[in-house]
Amino acid sequence: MRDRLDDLRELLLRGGTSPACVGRYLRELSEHREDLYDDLLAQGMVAEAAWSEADRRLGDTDALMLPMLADRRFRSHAARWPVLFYLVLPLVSLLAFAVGSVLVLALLASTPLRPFMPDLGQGAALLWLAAPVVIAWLTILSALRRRADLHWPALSCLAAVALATAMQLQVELPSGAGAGEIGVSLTPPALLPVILLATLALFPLLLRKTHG
Amino acid sequence: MAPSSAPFLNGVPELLILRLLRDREMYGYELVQAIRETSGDTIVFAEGVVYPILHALERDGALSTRRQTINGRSRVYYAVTPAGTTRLQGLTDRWRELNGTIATILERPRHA
Repeated sequence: MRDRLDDLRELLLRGGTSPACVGRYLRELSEHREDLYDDLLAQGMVAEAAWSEADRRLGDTDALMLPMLADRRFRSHAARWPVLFYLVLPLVSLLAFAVGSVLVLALLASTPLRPFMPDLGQGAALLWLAAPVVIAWLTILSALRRRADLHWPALSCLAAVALATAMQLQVELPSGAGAGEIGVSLTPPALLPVILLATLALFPLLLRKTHG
Repeated sequence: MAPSSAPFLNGVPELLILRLLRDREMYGYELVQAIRETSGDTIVFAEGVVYPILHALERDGALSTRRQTINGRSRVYYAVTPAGTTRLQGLTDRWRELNGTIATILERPRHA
């Protein structure tokens, strides 16, 4: 039989309570119920009646749920600012990754790896395509853990894929008197890479729908 | 005096909890038992709701916690901090003021 504390967990998470607060609360409730149960057994109650009484004295689901939902301090940051957490933060992370990889390439240009810059540039371009998928999975898993509405995470996944496929990285070695170049440009993304990456990025959601 | 924005009779559970924890640290179940015993079972409530209050007091800095394993069972012990002692004093003063006001209201003669 399903423990009603599991139902309480789902209600609190769907209500926006942070997973850490929910975990701690349910752990202490469970320990409290066990202490109650042990005491009732020691008083001579039979096991089934003792468990039932311990569960009753803990409080009904509403009594246990409402104080947690009423206190804003127990809400997760994601529940308070869903657009910031599920849309802005992933896109900013993607841009930061792109900027960081360009800076790393620029630093490597003045090292013995200089002759391999075009290959390193291609490697970085591949990582740029993998990054939105990784960021999308982390965003979706974060939303699933919090039982959050999946609209913002799904939108952010698609936006990240579109941005990543639109960004083009070019690395050119110096030729003659000319200096080498690391360039970033934005071009209209090709449809096939967008579809492929979007499918990969939204894979956790597709898997969840398939398994129910 | 400006009206308080606090809900009516807010702070009573916090007052009881801080007062009992001021004497010694306790874990949640122990604290609930202490409330029942010291009140002679007149204060009865859904026992699990003590935890949101404890967690809120901890966030406010009024309580500190430590986890300890005794007889194979792990428990979280709560203790009052100096900030908690100050808060307890404030709640106690407020309660005494409220108590006096209510007593005055109750003793007012009935008007014809």
